[in-house]
This record gives sequence, C-alpha cells and structure tokens, in this order.
Amino acid sequence: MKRDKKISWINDEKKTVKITAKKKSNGIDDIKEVETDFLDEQETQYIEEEISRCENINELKEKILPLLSTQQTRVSRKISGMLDKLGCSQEAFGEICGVSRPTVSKWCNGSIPKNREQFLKIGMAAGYNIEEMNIWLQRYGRYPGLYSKTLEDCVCMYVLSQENITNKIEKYNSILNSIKLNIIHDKEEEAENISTSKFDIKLSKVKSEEELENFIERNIALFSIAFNKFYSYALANIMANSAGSVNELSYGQGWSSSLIKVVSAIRQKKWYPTRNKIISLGLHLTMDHEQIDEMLSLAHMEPLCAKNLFESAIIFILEDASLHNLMDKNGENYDPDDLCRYAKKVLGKLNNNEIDLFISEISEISDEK
Amino acid sequence: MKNRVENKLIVIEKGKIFTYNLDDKLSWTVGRVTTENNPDIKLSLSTVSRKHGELTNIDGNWFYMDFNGKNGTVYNNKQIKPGIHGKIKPVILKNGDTLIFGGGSEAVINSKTVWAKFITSSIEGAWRVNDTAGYSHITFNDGNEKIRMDSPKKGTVLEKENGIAIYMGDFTYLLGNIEVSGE
Repeated sequence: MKRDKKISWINDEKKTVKITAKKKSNGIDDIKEVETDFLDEQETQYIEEEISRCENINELKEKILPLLSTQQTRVSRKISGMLDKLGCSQEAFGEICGVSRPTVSKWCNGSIPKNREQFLKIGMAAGYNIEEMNIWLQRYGRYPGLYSKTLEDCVCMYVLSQENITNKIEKYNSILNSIKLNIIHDKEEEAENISTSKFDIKLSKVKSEEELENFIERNIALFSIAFNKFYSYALANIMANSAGSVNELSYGQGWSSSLIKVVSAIRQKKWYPTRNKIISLGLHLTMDHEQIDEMLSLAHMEPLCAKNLFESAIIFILEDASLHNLMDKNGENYDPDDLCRYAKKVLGKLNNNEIDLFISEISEISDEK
Repeated sequence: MKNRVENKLIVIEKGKIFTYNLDDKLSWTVGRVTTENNPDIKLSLSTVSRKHGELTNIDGNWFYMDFNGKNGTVYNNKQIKPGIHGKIKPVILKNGDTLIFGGGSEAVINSKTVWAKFITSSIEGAWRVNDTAGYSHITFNDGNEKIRMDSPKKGTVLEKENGIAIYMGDFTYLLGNIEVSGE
C-alpha cells in the first residue's frame, strides 16, 4: 500500500529546528530549558509526520530510530544533570531519596527508577516545582502528571508549593503517614462534583499542615474516585466489543497473567494506571490511536508520544492497522487477535531491550487463523 | 455544598424539544421508530437508523456508543468513526457535549438532522420557545447579567445557574430563569 508522500520544504525547516534544539539543549539555565521544551515539541511533531510517511518497518528503523533517544538515555542524562546542578554526590542524593548509592549509580547508567513513587521522590529531591515535576513524570517517567484528586499527589503538590520546607521528601512522608493514620474514609459519603482546575486552586490556598489535613478530610471521598472515568472507559470498550465475557476474550487471546490482573483490578477500581499497561490493554482490545489516547487522557497522562522509541513504533502500528482497515473494510470476519499479532511482529523486528520487555507481555498468538 | 449531578439529554428534532432524564435508567437505545422498533429515545427522521446507538451508564459515567449506521453521528463536531475492524468506539460524555444524529460527517443542524446535548443540571420545568427569526443580534438575560451575541451559530447553548437557553436560528428554547431578545 502506498502512502501519501508529502516531502516538502516544510520538512527541511523542521529539520533545522531539530538541530537547533539539540545545540541548545547543552545549556542548563532556565531560559534555555524553556526554549528547549518549545523546540522539543517541534521535534516531536516532525517525528510524528515522518512516522506517518513510513511504509514499512524497515523504513521506520532507517528513518525514525536514529532520531530517537531511548527512555533510559533520557532519564540517566536527566538524573546526572540533577546531581551536577545540586552539586551532590550519588551517596548524598541517595540519602535524600531514601535509596542506596548503587541505586543512584544505576539510575545514572541507564536503569529506570522502578515506579512513579520513586520518580516523585527524585523530583522532590531535585527541588522541582509543580510544572517541572509534571514534565519529569510525564516525559521521562511516562507516568501521569500530578493529579490533585489523588491523596499522594495532593500532598506532593502541597509540599512542592511550600518554599519554607527544606527536606520535601521527609515532609511528604510524614504528612502522608499522619493522614493515613488519622483519616478514615466513610464510603457512604458522596464525592463533591468539582473540576480538577478548581480543586487545584483550592489546594493552592492551603498554607499549613493543619489546613492540609482538614482539606483532605473534607474531600476524602473524592480521592477514592480519582481514576473512575478511566476505569469506566476501559470497561465500556470491553463491553462494547466482546461478544463473550472478558474472561473468554483474555483466555482466547492468551493474555499474560499480569494483564488479566490489570483488568480484574480495573473492575474492582483498584488499579493505579501505568502507561505501558494501558497501551498493552489498548492493543489487546483492538483500540485505534484515538482510543488509546483517550484512555491515557482519562488516566491523566499525555497522548502517545512519537519522541519515544517504543511509542513511535506503536503509533506506526496503529496507523498502519487503521489504514489497512480502511482499504479492507468489507473484508473477512473480524479476528480480535490481528492487532496483537501484527504488533508483536513489528515490535520484534526492532531488536531493542526496552521494547522486548513489552513484547514479553503481549499474548502468544499463533500465526494461523 | 455537595451538588448532586443530574444527567440529561436534550434532543431537538424537527423543531420539537425533548428532555430525557438519563438517570432514570442505566441504558437508553437511540433510533428511528418503526412498527418493529421501539427505542427509548424515539426519533423519526429517515436519516436516523432504526438502531442508531445507545447511551449507557458505566459506574456513574455516561457513554454514547454509535452503531456505525449509514448516516452516523457527529460528536463535538467530529464524526464518530468505527474503530479497527468496524469496532464500536464508545465516547465518554461530559457536560455540554453535542451529538448530531443523521448528518453524515458534517456537523450540520437542519431539518434532516437531530441535535442532542448532554448536560448535567438540576434545572427543572417546561421549555419555552421564542421566535428569534431574522435577528442578527441576540441578548440573553438571566436576571443578573445581559449577554449579547452577534450572529450566533445554530446550536449555541448558554447555561447559567438558573436557566438554559438554546439558540437554533428561527427559534430559541428557554428553560428556567432566562429570557432572550434580539434585533
């Protein structure tokens, strides 16, 4: 199948922007960081356009891969930069974050902090404000940005906004422990219907720990429904498209046990969304690009990002699947395994550690229909 | 103060307005009425499919699922297209979302399409219809302030604390404490 080739001067202009962005990213002062963020967006758009022009996986490997740095590289560069900026040894940084020196050393050498909580603590240790923390969580950690309607994030946002707190992690831990001990959620209570932006404004007016505890106690029902819309959307897609039950679908497709656990936890409204699992769920439910972006958005995450090696491959796979579907809409019977099978085939050809971990969680599906 | 959300669908077809209190049921079928087909949200235009779509409540959130019929549905100015392999793509509804049934890919409001709005509001009462034909400037007044609009688009909705107004060109629909005038 042939795609619309739109090679034009616009691309040349964006290439120039990309090079400029790389040159400027060497600086560490704030102005340059803002410039780089802006140019970063331009670069992402450029890569997205390039992906849409790739006709096959070989073209994707040749054209796109050289433009991308892996998540490991980006995170390790960022953490090393934090240490330089703070003038801090690995040991001292580890002490602030509550981890050992070898763990910090691993982070600086390409090992990704293991969960969102660690990303939060690293961001607090780096002295980030709320905006910087959001960039750190979303762009580097691929986690949801700060969301004031979850208990942990609410406390984190308070701590980040208080300039007089010197050890933010210690304060964050002590407030959380105190709240968990003192506040018991009454399930009968109905959550207030309030927008997140209005809730953020209310939180920003909280100026002391006592006020924060009162604020959380008043809004405790709200924290229990933070991902309610995400859970409902995932269930709506399962219900709308599974002829049988989700159990039949998952066993039929040979889902990994961890993905089955995710669906079970979604039903019980207990799952804390993680980005790669959402993408995996989307592939297993044969969602298109728009639907996966909607799921990410409801989990308070950014849409699929072309800048990231794994996600650029996912965008390619989804676009190719949609294109194929458009040309073959009156084709043969629907096979729910098609998208997973195709994704596994394409991702497998990329020979990349970051992606291999994800592939291991995609169902083992026979190529025979 | 804790507000109890009431979910409603306002539907305008061939100039007539209907309000459905969605919370009365967990699921509402949308379609054209025939001798064999009796949907919950009963539409009559031939551009609407018999089984056009469904509104479903999942854990307190309302979804619209379009059955990908001939003339389809536009959601907030964008046609709901089937997913991969013609799959149904549920859309999660939030206050103020618009659905236009039967207009193909175009978000047009005319005699061949049905306009619907999902709102979360507690305003009760009967709708009033005001003739606004020929006005190029419209002024809404809710008792607290006057809001003037120059050449508003059909389907413009003004939602205030105690009233809702829907401008549809020749007619404007009013609910609660809100009035319209124009010139």
